[in-house]
Amino acid sequence: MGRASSLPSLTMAGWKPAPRETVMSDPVNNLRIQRRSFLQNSAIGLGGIALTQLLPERSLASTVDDPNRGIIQPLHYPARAKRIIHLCMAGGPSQVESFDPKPVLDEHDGQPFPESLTRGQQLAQLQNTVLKARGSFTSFQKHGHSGQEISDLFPFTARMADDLCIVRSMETEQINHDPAQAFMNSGSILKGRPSMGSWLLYGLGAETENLPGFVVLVSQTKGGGIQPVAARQWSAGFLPGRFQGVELQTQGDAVHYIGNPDGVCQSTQRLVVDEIKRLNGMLDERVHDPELTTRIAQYELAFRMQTSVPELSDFSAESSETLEMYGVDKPGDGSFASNCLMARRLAERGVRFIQLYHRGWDHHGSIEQNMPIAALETDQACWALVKDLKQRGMLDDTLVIWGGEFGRTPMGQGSGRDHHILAFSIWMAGGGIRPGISYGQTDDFSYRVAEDAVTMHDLHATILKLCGIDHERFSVKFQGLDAKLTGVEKATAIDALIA
Amino acid sequence: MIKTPTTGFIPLLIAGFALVCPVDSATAQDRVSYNSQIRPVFSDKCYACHGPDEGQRQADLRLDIREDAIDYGAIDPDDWQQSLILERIVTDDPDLVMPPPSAHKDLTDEEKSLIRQWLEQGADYEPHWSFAPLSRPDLPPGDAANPIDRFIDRRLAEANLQPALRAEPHTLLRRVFLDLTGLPPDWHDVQAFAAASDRAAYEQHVDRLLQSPAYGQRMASSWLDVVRYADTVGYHGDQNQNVWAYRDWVIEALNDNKPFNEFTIEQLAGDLLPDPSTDQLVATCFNRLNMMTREGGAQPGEYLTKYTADRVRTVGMAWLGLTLGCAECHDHKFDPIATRDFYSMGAFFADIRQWGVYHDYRYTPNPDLRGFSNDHPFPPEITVESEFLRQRISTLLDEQRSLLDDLQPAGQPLTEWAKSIGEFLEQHPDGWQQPEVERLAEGISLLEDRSILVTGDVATTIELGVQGTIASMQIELLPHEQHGGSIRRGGNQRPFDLRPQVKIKRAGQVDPQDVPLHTGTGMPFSPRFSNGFQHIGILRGWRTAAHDQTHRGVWVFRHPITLQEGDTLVVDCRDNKCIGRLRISLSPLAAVRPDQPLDLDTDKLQSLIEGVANHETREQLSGNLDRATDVLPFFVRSTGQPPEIFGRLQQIDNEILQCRDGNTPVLVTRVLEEPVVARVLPRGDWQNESGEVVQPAVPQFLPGAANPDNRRLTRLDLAEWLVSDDNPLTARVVMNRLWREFFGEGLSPMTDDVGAQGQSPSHPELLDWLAVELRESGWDLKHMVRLIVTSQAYQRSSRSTGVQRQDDPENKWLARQRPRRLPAEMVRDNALAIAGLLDKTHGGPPIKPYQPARYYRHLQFPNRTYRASSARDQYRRGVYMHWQRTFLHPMLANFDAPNREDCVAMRNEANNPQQALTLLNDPAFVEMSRVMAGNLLAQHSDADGSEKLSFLFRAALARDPSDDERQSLLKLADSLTQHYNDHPEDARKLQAVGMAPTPAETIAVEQLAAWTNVCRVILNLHETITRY
Repeated sequence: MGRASSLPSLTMAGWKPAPRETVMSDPVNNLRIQRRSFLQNSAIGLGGIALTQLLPERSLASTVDDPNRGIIQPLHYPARAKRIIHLCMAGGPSQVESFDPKPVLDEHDGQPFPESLTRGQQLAQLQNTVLKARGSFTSFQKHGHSGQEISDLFPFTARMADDLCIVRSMETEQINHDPAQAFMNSGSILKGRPSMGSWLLYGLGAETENLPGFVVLVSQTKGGGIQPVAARQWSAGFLPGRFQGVELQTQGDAVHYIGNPDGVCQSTQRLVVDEIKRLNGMLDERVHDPELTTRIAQYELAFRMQTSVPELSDFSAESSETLEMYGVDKPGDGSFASNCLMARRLAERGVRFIQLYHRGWDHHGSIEQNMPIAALETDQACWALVKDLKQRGMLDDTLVIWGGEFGRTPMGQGSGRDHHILAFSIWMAGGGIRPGISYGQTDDFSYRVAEDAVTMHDLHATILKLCGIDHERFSVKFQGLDAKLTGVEKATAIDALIA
Repeated sequence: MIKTPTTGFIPLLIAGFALVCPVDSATAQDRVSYNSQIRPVFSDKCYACHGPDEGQRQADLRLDIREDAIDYGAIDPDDWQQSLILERIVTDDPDLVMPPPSAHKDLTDEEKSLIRQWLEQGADYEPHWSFAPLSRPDLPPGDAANPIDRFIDRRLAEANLQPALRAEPHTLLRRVFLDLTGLPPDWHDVQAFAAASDRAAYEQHVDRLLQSPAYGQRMASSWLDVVRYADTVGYHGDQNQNVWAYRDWVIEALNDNKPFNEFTIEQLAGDLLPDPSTDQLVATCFNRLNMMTREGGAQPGEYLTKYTADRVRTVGMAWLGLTLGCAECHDHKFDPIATRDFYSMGAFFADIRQWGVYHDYRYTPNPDLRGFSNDHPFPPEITVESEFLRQRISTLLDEQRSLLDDLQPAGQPLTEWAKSIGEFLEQHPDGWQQPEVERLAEGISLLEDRSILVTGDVATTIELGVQGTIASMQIELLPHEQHGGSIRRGGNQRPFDLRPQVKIKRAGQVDPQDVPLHTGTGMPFSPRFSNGFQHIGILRGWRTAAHDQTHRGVWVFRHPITLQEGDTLVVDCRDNKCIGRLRISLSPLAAVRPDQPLDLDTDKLQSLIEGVANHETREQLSGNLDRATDVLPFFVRSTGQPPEIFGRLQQIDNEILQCRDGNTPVLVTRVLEEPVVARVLPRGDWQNESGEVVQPAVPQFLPGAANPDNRRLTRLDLAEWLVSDDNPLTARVVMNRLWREFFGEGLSPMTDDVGAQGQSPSHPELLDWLAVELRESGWDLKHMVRLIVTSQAYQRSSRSTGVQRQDDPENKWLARQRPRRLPAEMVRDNALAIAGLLDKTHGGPPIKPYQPARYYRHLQFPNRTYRASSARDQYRRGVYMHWQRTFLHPMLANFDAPNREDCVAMRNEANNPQQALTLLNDPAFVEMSRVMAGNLLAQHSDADGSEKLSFLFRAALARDPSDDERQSLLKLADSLTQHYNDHPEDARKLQAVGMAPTPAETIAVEQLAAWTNVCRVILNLHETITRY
């Protein structure tokens, strides 16, 4: 059945095509309508004004086919990044063993940590203990034309030094995993706040009708350092549920309830879905409930997802060279490498925000054993992903972000390091980011940022700007407040990071 | 404050100017309302810099207080054209215009025009509607009997709107059933009501539904959202917390129609009432429903701050409808709530005993929580009786009894057994025999009382020479002087664990066989926990308690075993070489009651046996039938015969043990001897101790905040103030939320903010009238619900005419009802009821419907596996579902149930593909469909297809199908029957979904499969999940 005939009611529907001023000045009503409806049934709400009159610059057909249009129309800036892949190194990788070489710290290895630095600062598991400096157990080399310094734990990442924009001066506010991940994702530790993936999907809309626009994949290390990750990290919070991240499962149904019931083949399911739509349509003729129009479209979308998700998980078209490049043993095995390959497939299919968690960087103990394991599990696949995107011409408009919810203390904690929020490192690639630079500096101990601090809110503002959004003008009224991803405090998009 | 040209508010010296926007002549004559027209604009666009927040105030101008604005010159009521705000809002100069362009809060032309008119009319301020004192408005004149209709009819008349007719009887009945109980009406009620749907008949239904126990199950959900009720703690490892007794309390309180003021007081301060009842203590679980953590590295001080802030936000929203959370870091930008108010409110809860991090980490040692692990509960808890659990035990015991009642006395085997047991009991009257110890290793010696003294560094593994049948084993741990009077080797007082492993070494065989154990019970013991729940019995390990006392443990074998000559029983205590002295006894008997396992009840058995043992045959036994019947439980338990009955008994044993003797722990409020010092935390920074110390106080801007005695106020004072006549908010907020339950939207649509940034009510006088009525009725919620649902407004059709849609697209004036998609729990309940699967049982531990496998795999500390409830609990209502905060059940989440991490007073109502996928493919809904089809085909085997469809539609939608619906579905049924005739294996697979029994084999499985899919269609219909 062709799309046009399977979606007859969509000609009735369309996103409320109001001019920007109206959208932004009346976010309350705007959101309230969206809370009720996936599609905007505005033909009635607009008092019978013909849809065509309000859509001068877009063809009616494209709007009708584009129910997932974003709220920011037009974008505030030209978009550099159309999609984002966030490689979240959950648990908090050590910066002094990855991207922030500190010879002075190394010299102080085992000696008391300067109290002048730590006095009055918050500690996690190092509370009430004697603090000693812990030098890096790895060494750093300069790589590429840019001469970026990258630790020996990340040889593949080092190969793409000239593509990377390393930020050594990240700061965050939360010192425990759960709230720190919430802060990284939503810019707030209050519950019920949307994560950045949801914000972007809400602002930019989706490019695919057959897949969720925000997808999450989770892998975990074979070594130590695993921490839980809660589904709230990809929650849409107060935004409508369709903006929430959907976790792809590696076993069973890739998406909850995506598979037909036992004993129901695809053709039977099609009959059932068509019948539901037909009967809903009959009711609509009698009661004229705009929700019904939406419901009918949702069933069609659900059915399309049932078809496209299995196709997504079918890796048979991937060449052995590709599998080898990513270091994938068995596609779909739930490893970080397999998830990176899936990330590229999702990006190709128009998914807006793809978030990978690798649980395995919480190295309180045995960091010398466990961090190399986590690095080995991720390093090659990260490189392969960037390379693959590049060779397919997608890196230019795909922003890849690598980093954890915080860093680790330059002080030792037994055989490991504790959580650290005053300084840590991330890298970004593609999507309009300035390649081949290291931005920001920490002090001699990587304890505090010495130059060019980048807060989580700054990072969010920068990401939004790369996507064409002014974070100051991107808010939703929630409980009486104009809630923003970048919070209440001043946040700045860092132009130095943008090419 | 420095005034700068760009942000300041300096006079603009422009001699004359004209407003750029034309003034609508019609509106120019109307009086502009400050509350509904001006304040929303000021609040949204001006207050952030010129409002209550002192820290953010620009140019020293405060616009939310009239006197301040006049003093400043911003408003000049005497010469309105001289008002400074006027010139600043109309100028084109980007450096001067207000709001500044950088704020992205430009005024629209209409807003400018309104402000101008308002200035011209004298710039009157009104108190914000929700903060204004509450008094009962006069009832508008009219014929309507129900006061609600008087208010609504007046507005309809003013708006010149024609109200819709009363809904059709079947629609109305289904509406009121779903709204009051969450369950659909049955067809008999629908038919009767169609015949006579007058006011009396309708009110009879209303009264019956209000009395139905399903009422509380339905109404509880929104309160549980507000108080953020969940079964897990939410942070990090998201462990279980024991709170379900509170959920049952809420449901019962609603069913009992507990006055809302008492409902309030008991939850906030039940423990402070004189001589509080157990129920009143359970109610204080409310104060403990904040998220909690036991994450490693978490700082107790930081988390205590978070817990307090969480409570303030919840009380602020649940009762006051305000977003107090904003004031944690700064004065509220829009409402007159100061940061100090936030912390003063928090101070009310400073007496609550709790811990910031529920663990005993080395870096933050915590003597109160010594030995705490990730498996421990979250104290303080009390243990309370549960009606549900007691009832469940009694049901299960009845089931066991009836299993045995069905057994006939077994004749010869029974008498032989009775004889041998009789002889055994003569020698061992307590039922326990101490067998010979086969071999004594070095460091183990046998004492005269047959106990074993262990002194060496050896494993406590004992080999016993014994013959005959053994059904249970007893181990006593005995103090001994050689261990300083302790049961532990070397006299150490630290508790230790033992987990005996029993094996048989058969004569001549090398490899011993495991003897699996069924139950284990020990006294005394130290409790052990698994994800918040105390272990039941000692099967998974026995942790010792006071070491100067004798410990006694009994294990029942999964199957009684028989040892022959030469066989050896090996007992490995697996005690980490800790036991100092023990005595092992064996018995051919097993306890009859799993919940009383230490009691072999040998006296009773002895007296019964005498009557049985002397009879050889079944015929002879029948003369002694009573005795034989009474002895049967002993026989079955001790011999394992007959195996199927024995197996079933043991299954039920486990269910009985799960009921924990009918008791459950529940988190409650306990007070500290001294409340912790509460202070203002500058910018919410918990480490900053420079802030002012505050005492408990309600927000200063609200009336009734005075405390003339200057004593320390308590939670009880807070609770009483919340429901006092002084407080204008609670009654309004409660009625606004209640209205939403029945009209789909509050009278003030934002039920989660009635402050300045909320929306003025569409019918302010109606809301005030309802609020006063609530108060003066003695906070009688059922009275208010009855008033609402018996109004004409409630009963109107939800269909709209073109004129209505044009004149009032949002249905603000309620000329018609609003269709409403059912909340998540009711989507489930309604479908279960339609399918005939619903179990309406009340209360009890959370139930676990089917859930996608491995959904909890990212949860650690401890690792989690989800096991779906057995059929006994699989079909219960959604309100009883296990609420895992970090991974809410996907069905609930897809239908917008909140994860209840924070207070939610307004659920989203999305319409998305996940909902379609859930209804289509979630095994729970597939199972409902096949059971629905099975019942249909079993009960109406003679009906033709068209009649069958009628039955389905009546159950699901309280109506008959239309002709076109009928035709369409019949065609579907036909083609599906054809399909399944060709694919019978698919038909069988479909019938295997879920644990409900499959129907009798007389029904053709192909037919069943075809109709299962028809039922799937019906359960998926928008109409099925919507109340019209």
